[in-house]
Amino acid sequence: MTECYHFSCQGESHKADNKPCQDASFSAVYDDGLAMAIVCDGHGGERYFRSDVGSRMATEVIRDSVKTFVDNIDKDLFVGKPYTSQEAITSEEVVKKQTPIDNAFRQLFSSIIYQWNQKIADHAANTAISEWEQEHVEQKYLDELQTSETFEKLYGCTLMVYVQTPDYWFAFHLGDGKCISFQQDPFWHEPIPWDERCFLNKTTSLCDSNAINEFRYCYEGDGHFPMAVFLGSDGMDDSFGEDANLVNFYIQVVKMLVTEGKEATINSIETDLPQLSKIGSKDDMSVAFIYNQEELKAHLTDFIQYQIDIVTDSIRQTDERIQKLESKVNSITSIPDEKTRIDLDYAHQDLERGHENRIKLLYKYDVLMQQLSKEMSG
Amino acid sequence: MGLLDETVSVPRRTMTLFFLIDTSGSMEGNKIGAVNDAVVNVLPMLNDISETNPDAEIKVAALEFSSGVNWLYDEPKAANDFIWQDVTAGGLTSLGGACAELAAKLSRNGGFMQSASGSFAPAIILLSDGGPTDNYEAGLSKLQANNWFKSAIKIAIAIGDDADKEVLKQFTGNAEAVITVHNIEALKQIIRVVAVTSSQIGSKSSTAGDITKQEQVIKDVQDATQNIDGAETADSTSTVDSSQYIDDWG
Repeated sequence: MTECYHFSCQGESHKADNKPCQDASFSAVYDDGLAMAIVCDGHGGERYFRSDVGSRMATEVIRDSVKTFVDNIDKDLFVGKPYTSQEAITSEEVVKKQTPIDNAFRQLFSSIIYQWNQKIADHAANTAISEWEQEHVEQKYLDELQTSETFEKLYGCTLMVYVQTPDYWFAFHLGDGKCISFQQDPFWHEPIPWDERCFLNKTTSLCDSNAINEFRYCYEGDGHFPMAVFLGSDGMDDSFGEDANLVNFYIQVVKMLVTEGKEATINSIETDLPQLSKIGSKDDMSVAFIYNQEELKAHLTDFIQYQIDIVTDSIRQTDERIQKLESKVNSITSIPDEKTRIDLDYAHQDLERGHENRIKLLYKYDVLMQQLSKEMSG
Repeated sequence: MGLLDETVSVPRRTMTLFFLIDTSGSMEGNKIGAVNDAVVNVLPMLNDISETNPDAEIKVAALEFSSGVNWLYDEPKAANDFIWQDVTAGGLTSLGGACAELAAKLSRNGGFMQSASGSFAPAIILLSDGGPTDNYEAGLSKLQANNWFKSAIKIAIAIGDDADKEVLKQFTGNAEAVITVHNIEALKQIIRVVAVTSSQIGSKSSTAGDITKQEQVIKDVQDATQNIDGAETADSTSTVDSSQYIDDWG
């Protein structure tokens, strides 16, 4: 059975100045088998002081536009199509190569942009500047709300969407954040191509004048569906650094869904994400996911085995490093100069850390092996 | 089982501070001595910032360039761990080579950088007292195409009137990011101010208003420079009677 969940919470750095959570998320599984998950992340700069509204409206617009898209599109366009992905358009040459599916997506994206602009225009026209805005936002940005033709910047946000029907699935993305899918081969990947323009604190945005060409997307209609797809705002991936750590966290979610059930998992997510923001990125945090409970249950041992393989590889790398450091220490038999002394000190220090790290990794390995053993025997 | 149990890693975010130090022959004597002295003294301050900053850990990397280029260590070190090895002066000024080497290390593939997720843009402090003696344009253009460099806080310290400020301006992308010093004490103080300010601002999650971190650093450094005898910024050097100071490296 396909299930879904979404959650957004205020980032630690927003609490100090009472800034609202600028993320918005949504998920649903409809009676006709349509499932969707959405994460929108409002920009944090002072200029984007209504991005919380922008992200909420983007979520609503996407929800309705995707529903209409799926209801009206000829599913044969997708059926039988292998996994295909399309990067953001950066040259005219790519525009010329569009297929009927590309054209359909372009219409969907145009509709989202148009409707979002309509909604925020209404909001800008009908919502007076609040006391909070008056107090916290520079006058030049407040003026932009009423006089500028680029007021959409004030509502700027990113978006990330996964949609699944009984016949096909697709996903699209504009801006940063990460979409991770789990399936049999490869075990996990980022199905939507990355946009190199999203780097550090820079991102493409729904408020960009060229937003239509900044969408990237992927789809598949050959009967293969991911077991689970997770969408996380950049507050999530900034907390975990390397993708491998983010993937590991999502595997924890999968394991909990299977072993302790959805309610316990939700409780844990809603407790842990604010905590994660505090110790990690300090940013707003959002996660939305779609999953197949039976598939996850059937492959639970694969998830644990994947974690064991990663830890085993880390132990191997640590052992290699320890070995190299030991060779280095043993090779220094005299200290002719200051540089040699410093190198030796560093080697001893790194060796100590290597051994500490190895102990932690072995503990992780034991914990995971116990989990695997329990599942195998259960 | 919890979601954030012992099997989950939440590493601390990092910001790397790069020192690019001209160790050509003209730096010999008091100038290079002042640089060594200043960096040794600023490292504990960077460690304090790193330890008290909930947002990120500060790491330090240093590249010296003269006739060739040389990293003091083959990886950035935590400010607390960084043991400064005094650099010595001699040779030419391979600024282009230094730029190309920095570009190679501002990368994840064989470089010093980690995933952009979980990292802050680096801060880069360039110190030079002369003009490049190699093809600096080629190295600089490589560097200018690097995404980490584009996002970095970049400040240059021009050591004396012989420093090629135009080149330093090209490096930082902003004339106001070039601070000129004319004596030993000013050099030491400016190294401290620039390193501390860049680290404080560069390792914070949030920025003040809509100005960039580089703009914030420039503003704070310019404010501090006004109180340092023998140091001046582009604002004060842009007048016709360009400098109120005479170099004194005695």
